[in-house]
Amino acid sequence: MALALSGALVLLPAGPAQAADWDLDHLPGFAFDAEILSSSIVSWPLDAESLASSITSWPLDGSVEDLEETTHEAGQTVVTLNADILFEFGKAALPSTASARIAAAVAKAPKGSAVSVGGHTDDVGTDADNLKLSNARAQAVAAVVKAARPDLKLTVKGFGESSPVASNTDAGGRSKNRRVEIRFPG
Amino acid sequence: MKRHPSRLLVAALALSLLAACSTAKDTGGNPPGGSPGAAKSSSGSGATGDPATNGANEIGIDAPDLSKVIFSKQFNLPGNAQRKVTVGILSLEGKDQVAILKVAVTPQFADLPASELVGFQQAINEGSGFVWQPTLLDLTNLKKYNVLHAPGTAGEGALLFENGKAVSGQPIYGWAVFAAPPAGVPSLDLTITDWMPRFTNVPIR
Repeated sequence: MALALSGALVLLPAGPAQAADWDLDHLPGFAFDAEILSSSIVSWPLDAESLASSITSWPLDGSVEDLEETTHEAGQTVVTLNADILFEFGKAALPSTASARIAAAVAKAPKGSAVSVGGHTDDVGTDADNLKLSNARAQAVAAVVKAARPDLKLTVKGFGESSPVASNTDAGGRSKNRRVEIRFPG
Repeated sequence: MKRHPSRLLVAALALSLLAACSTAKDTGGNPPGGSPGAAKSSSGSGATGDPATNGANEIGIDAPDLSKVIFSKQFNLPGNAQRKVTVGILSLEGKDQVAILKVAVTPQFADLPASELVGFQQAINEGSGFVWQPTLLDLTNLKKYNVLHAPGTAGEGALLFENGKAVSGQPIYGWAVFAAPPAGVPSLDLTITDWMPRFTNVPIR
């Protein structure tokens, strides 16, 4: 009520002598009944549901990507390695921590089976550069596979930007396209 | 409506981060902490005041203090040879479930008048063609951390900039929030965009 009354006082003539004579309960033309007072107040609900709905949340789930993703298609196991984690921009050198994970990724390949290692890039840069880079990255991964599983028959190839799995028009899509795929039966 | 406590925590941290970046001004003077680079900027801004800080002044915050930058690199913006940008890493701070990245980004746009205020993010995107989507790379555990974002909102996973304008040579804040890496990881590699080389071994404090 104090808030509503103070709002009303702003409309009245100023002057300490006059103000002293005013009877706020009987001002001509004003009726401070409860309904008018309550309608003059904008309330912001503070119940739990209103508070919760006022907060935009940023979920942690799904924001972290692992090095490898394993899928199965047409009788083959496909291990897709995230090139953003494995390689620096424009380079093909593997981090020292990668060998154990790559070896584990091909542990289930049948003994003596044919395994393909394919490198892929996004469409940024020239075709020639991307072909060369994708081949170098595939060779780097294949070297680790060969060391871990000398029994496997490896085919290694760089595909450049020719086989995208997502649109290259946004960063998320380009990231998906920068990859090395290991394929083996199973 | 049931909310996961961790989500509320993240939202609260985001708000506190905004508060930390913003300092209310009670005078019309220049903010403290202006950068040496900013101080060298042109004085020909006319009615807009000091071009070194007028973008920050416009929205009532301090300009980034470049003396606190721990790593810095300059990049050419793809598609416009006259536009360069310097990215300075101010901090990568772990707070409970999240890691908060703060950067100072300074445009050097030779094709614009030195005093011209430009929408910073728009200028960068026009130059590079891409929204900046930083990622953290944990080469110990071989994981990639993408920027946290509210589902369905614009600028998915993007570096957030001050909602203001800048002139060439004036640093401006950018920040991003990620899920925190496991305890015991002392540093991470950082990519700001997918066309920039990495910042390596950025310490988590």
